[in-house]
Amino acid sequence: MDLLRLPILGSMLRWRHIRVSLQIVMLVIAASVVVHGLFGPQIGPRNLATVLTSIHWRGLLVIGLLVAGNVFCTACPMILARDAARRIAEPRFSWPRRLRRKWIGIGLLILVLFSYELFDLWELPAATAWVILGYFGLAIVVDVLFKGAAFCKYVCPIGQFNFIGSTMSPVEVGVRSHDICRSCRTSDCIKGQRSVIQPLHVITRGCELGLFLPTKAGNLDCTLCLDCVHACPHNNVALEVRLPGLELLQTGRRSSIGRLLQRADLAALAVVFTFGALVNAFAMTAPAFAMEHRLATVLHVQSEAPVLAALFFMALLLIPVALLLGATAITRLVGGNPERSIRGGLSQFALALIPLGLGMWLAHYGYHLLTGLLTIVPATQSAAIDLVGTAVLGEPLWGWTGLPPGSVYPIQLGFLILGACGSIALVQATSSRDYPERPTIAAAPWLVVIVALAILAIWILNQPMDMRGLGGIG
Amino acid sequence: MAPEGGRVRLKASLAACCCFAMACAGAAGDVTATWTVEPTPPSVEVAALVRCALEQRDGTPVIGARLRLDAHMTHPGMAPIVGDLIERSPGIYESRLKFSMAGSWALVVSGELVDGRRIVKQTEVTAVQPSG
Repeated sequence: MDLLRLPILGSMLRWRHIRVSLQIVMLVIAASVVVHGLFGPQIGPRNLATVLTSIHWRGLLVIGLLVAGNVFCTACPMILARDAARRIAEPRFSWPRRLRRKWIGIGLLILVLFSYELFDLWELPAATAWVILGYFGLAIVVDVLFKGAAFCKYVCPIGQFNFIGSTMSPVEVGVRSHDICRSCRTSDCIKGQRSVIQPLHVITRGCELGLFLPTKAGNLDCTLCLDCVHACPHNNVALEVRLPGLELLQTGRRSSIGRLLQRADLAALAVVFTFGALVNAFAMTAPAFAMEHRLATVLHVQSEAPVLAALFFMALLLIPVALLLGATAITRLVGGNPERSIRGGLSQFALALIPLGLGMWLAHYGYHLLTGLLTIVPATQSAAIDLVGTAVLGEPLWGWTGLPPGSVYPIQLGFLILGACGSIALVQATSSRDYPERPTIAAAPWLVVIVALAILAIWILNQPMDMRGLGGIG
Repeated sequence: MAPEGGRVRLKASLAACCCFAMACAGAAGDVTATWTVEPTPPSVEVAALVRCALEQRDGTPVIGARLRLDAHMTHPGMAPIVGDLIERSPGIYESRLKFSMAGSWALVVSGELVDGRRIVKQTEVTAVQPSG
C-alpha cells in the first residue's frame, strides 16, 4: 500500500510545504523550550524544557518510529535553521571520505547518554536549553561547511538513533516502478530538479543523504524528508507499508550504505542502541545507585564521572563485546559454516538486536510519556504565569500527570516481549540463511543472548526508581 | 528573511525573554525562605515535617501568607505530593508529607502574601532514603 496514494493523507504528504510546516511548529516549540529553560523556574517538573524533552519528545519519538517512521527527522527544526544559514554562506566542502561512517555519530550518541546521566539533565532546565542551542549551533556549523546533509548523515546522534530505530518502522520510501526509473535520464530524485535556463540552480532539492531511489533499500539514512517525492518528475516515488525489520536481512548492496555485513559501524550502532537502552533505564533505579557506590569504593573516587565512565565502559563495550563475540564464535563453531568470518557473523547477528533495543526504549520512554502525558498542561500554565505574571491559563494543575504507573507496566512488558520476539525472528531468519545445514544450533547462542537481555530488561523495569540529581537551590 | 521581518521577530523574542525574567524576579524577590526537613535524612517510611520560615530582608517574619507545598520528584512526569502549609508561629509554615519514592525531590512553596504578591520558593531534598 502506497500512503501517498491515499485520499487525504496522501495529499497532505505530497503537499510541497508539509515538511516546512511541521518544522515551523517544531521550531516554535524548541524556542519555547529554550526560553523557558533559560528564564523559567529551575525545577525539572515545572519547566517546559525538561518536561517537553524528557517526557513528550522522547516518548513520541520512539512511538513515532514504531507506528510511522522517522517522523522527528521529517520535522527537525534544525534543517530550517541551517537552510537559513546556507542563504548567507553556501557550503563549499564535501564531507571527508574517511569520515563517511557512523563512528562520529555513535561517539556523540554515547556522549549524549553519558552526559544525561552525569549532569542529571532531566532536572536542569537551563542546561537542557543550552544543549538544544548547542545542537542547533553544531548543525549550522557542519552544514554551512559541508554539502548535502552531512550533519544528519554522519554527525547527529539523534539522527543515528532514529536511523537504526526506523529499521523497525512500518513504512519505507521506495520506487513505484523500476521500469520508469530505468528510462529516467535525469535522476532528479538524487540530483534535484534544475532550472533549464540556469542548470546550476536547483529548483527542487533531491536526496541530500545520497540515497539513489532505484537502489535504495530500507530506512537507514532516510530522514523521511520526502524531497525525492517532490523532485521526481515521473511521480514514481511511493511511501510503502512494509514488514518492519525485514530490511536487516537484505545482504545486497544498497545506495549510499553499501553492504550491511561490511558496515561494522552500523553493527556497533545497533549494539549501542540496544545496550544503551538497558543502561539508560537501569541508571534510574535503586540498584544502579547502589552499584555506583560500590564502584566508587572499588575505584577509590568521590566524583561520579569516573564511576559512570566505568559503568558505561562495561555496559556499552566490555560486556557487549564479550557476549556477542562469544555468541558469534560458538555459532561459527557449531553452525557448520566455518568459512563465515567472525566480523560478518557478528555484524549480521548484531543487527538482530535492534527490535529488542527498540522494545526497551519504548518500555522506558513510553512509561514516562504515558505516566506524565498531562504534565504539559501545568507546565504550560506555569510558563504563562512566568511570562505574564498572572494565571491567564488558570492555576497550574500540578496533580495532572497521566496514567497510574501500575497500569502502564503491562504495556511496557508488551513492548519488551514484542521486541524480543522480533529479535528472535531475525536471529532465526539469519541463521536459516547463513547456516542452512544447522540453523537451530547456529541460532542457539544468539537466542540465549536475546532471552538473557530480555530477562535483564524485565528485571530493570521491576526495580524501584531512585532518581538522585545534583539539583539547584532556589 | 526580509530584514524588517527579522528585526521584528528579534524584538519580539527579546521582549518575551525580558517578560519571563521580570516575572520570575518580581515574585516576592525580597522575601527569603529558610527550610528544614525532619527527620534528616528523610525516608519513604516516615512522614517528614517540612518547615519553611519566611522573612523580609530586614528580618521581619512574613505572616498571613496563603501557601501550598508541592513536592516534585526531580524527574519530570511523576505525580507530585501536595499539601497546605499551616502557619504555626509568625512566619513559620509547616506541612507533613510522605515521600513516595527514594531519591531527589524538589520542594516548592507557592501562594500569595497578604499584600497580594505571588510567592514561589524552592529547595531540594537530595537523599530521601528507600525503605528497609
